[in-house]
Amino acid sequence: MKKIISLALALVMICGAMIAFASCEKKGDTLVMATNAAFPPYEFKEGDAFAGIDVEIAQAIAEKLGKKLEIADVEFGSIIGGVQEGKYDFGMAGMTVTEKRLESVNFSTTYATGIQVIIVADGSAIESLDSIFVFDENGDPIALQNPDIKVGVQQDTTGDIYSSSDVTGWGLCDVTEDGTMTTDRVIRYKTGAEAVAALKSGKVDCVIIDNEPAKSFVAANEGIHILAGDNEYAIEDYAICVAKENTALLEQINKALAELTEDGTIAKIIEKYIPSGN
Amino acid sequence: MKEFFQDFKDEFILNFVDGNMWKWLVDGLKNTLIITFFSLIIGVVIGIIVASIRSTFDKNREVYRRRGGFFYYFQWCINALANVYLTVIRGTPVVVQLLISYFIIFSSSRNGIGIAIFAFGLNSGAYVAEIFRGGIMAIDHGQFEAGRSLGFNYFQTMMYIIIPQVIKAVLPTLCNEFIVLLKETSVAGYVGIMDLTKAGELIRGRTFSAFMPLIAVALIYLVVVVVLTQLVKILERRLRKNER
Amino acid sequence: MRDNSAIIQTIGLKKYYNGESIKAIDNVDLSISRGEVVVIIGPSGSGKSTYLRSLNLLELPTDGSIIFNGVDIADKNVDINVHRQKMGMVFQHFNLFPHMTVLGNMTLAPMKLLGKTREEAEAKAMELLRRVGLENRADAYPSQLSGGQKQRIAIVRALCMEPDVMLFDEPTSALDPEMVGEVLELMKQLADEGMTMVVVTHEMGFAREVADRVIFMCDGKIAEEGTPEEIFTAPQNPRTKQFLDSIL
Repeated sequence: MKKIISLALALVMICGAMIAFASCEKKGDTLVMATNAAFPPYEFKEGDAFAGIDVEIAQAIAEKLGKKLEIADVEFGSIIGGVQEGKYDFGMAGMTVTEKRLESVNFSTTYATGIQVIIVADGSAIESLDSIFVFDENGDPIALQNPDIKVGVQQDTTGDIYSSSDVTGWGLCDVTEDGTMTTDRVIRYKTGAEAVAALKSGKVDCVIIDNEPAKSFVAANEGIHILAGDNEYAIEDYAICVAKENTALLEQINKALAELTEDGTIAKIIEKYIPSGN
Repeated sequence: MKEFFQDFKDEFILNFVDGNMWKWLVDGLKNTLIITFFSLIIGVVIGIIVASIRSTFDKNREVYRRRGGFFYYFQWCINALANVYLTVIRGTPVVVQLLISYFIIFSSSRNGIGIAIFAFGLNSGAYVAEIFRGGIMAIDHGQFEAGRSLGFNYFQTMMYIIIPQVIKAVLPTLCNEFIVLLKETSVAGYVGIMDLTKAGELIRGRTFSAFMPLIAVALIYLVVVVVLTQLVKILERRLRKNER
Repeated sequence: MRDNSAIIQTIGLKKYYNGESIKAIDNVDLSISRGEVVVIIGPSGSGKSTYLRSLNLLELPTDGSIIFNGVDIADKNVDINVHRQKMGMVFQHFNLFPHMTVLGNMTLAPMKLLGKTREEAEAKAMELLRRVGLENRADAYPSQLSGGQKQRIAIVRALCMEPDVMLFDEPTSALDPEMVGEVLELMKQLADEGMTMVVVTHEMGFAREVADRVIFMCDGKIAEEGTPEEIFTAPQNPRTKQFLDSIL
């Protein structure tokens, strides 16, 4: 009996070790991309397969480098950490370059421009940025119009990060002198779709999210619209993140991106998902 | 070694001190405890009601059937409803129940924590009901008979003789349910509630380091659970002392 | 059919399980007079315990009447709880309430059901405890008592309700042999005081000495009844004879 137990234990440990090593092992001929496939049209799932602008560009880069692309679908907030640890080779998820993120990882050259927009319900009291912020004469926000406002965002996206700062940083939170921040105005959902669902049922007054997924959400849902005109919340550039020490890969990616821009592949991919007539 | 400690210190400052992010953990813990506590109260109330319905029907089925008529069918229906409740709640994940509560049942409410208390309370009720039912069923049938033979009716027998014994017997299990519930509320973040787990996630999403926030969150849960477990042990010991 | 001198009477009492395939009690007519001590004996599975338990409806009879103090308590429109207050019952396994003291066990029902004050109920309980010599155990919990003490407490707990009849369901079967005597002694005292008693037991000595009438039950029926003298010395039914031979 004892023997059987110790044998079983040994087996379990061996299996455990194999799994652990298998995940550590980097096969030389694959590139692992970390993304959060809930951000159409940049990345999303079509049945079991991944699709979207980022996915196709990554595919093209992998081909250029002569490697096989593998996609890990993780939470947005786990991407940078995983890339840092070397769990993934690079992260690509409609990710904006920010100073904070630059402390942790390196970013490639920009391959697309993202715009953070505001989605509201039809008939909402929020008609423009002026309904959210009070601006000074320079056009900088100095106060909130309505301190009871609730804003839905996708957790850890740029929409979350910007809106989580104080009002002078275009955020919606109160930040006290010692840096403590209130968190009850910004409600962070796991996916953009949930934020939009919350908007539709009136749990939040507006949703701040990237322009492209916003268009998809508005197209798919009745009764909501994007604030039109000059009312974008933020304009930002998307890039690929790579671990700081992995400069070789960063160079390769930048080179591939340059070539793909040159031959029009990237423009074609973006056009496929976001027709310019739109 | 020195380098390690320096790294550790830097990481600690980055994750908790900068921007006072540790206060998010405090807020998160507060919400976690609030949700857990009130959910358990709702759960115990629902649990006692459902357990009473079920065991009353089980024990008196013969009497009711003999008496027949409307009363029997009424009892039968209530018992069936209780069974449906137990089956549905225990047959679906609590996250799904929470999402349904948030996006469908209370779609127009803005009180996220209130909704979470409802959802976790409803969920816990099903498990508490089974704890209580097990407790009632574990009481020797002779206790019922002794109560009834003295002239107590069914409800008096339950109230004076059975329930006091059941409560004593299930209290430790009930406290364990509280501990389980505490950990289960970690999915409250799915509906945008800032609970302890979500607080850790937010820190993680801003500092991009996995280690510190996750370990901190785990440690806080652990400490709370260990403290609760000790309280349960003291309680158990005192209950046993009463019986001598 | 009705016997007006009887305190408790069963007419055509039946208890069937699985339709009619198992007949635990099969058409039993019996009437018990006030002050009478009736001992029911019989082999195991003869239905004697089921019969006793159906007298206060712990077992629901399939058919028949149970007339107690002139009321048919087997009628489904009768509030059985009122009548049970007047029928004390003693169980094989005592069934004291473990979460209450001896005094608590004895005063619960009088206070809640008879509306007695705590003082009245406790005075009555203490009087009974003194009678059985257990007044110093009033504040003990059941788990601190011996089997014989537990059963004596169970008997006086029932007496606290001042019942018209006492039902005993094998009161000594779960006791160690050296404790049987003290319980039987108490039962004998009760009988001497004129309490109406129905006793299911295997204690033939008790039956012979105390019973006014002995009933021999077999296969759910009354196979033979008579004075202890008649049953024990000259049984008429071969089944009775066979049973007595096997245990004496």
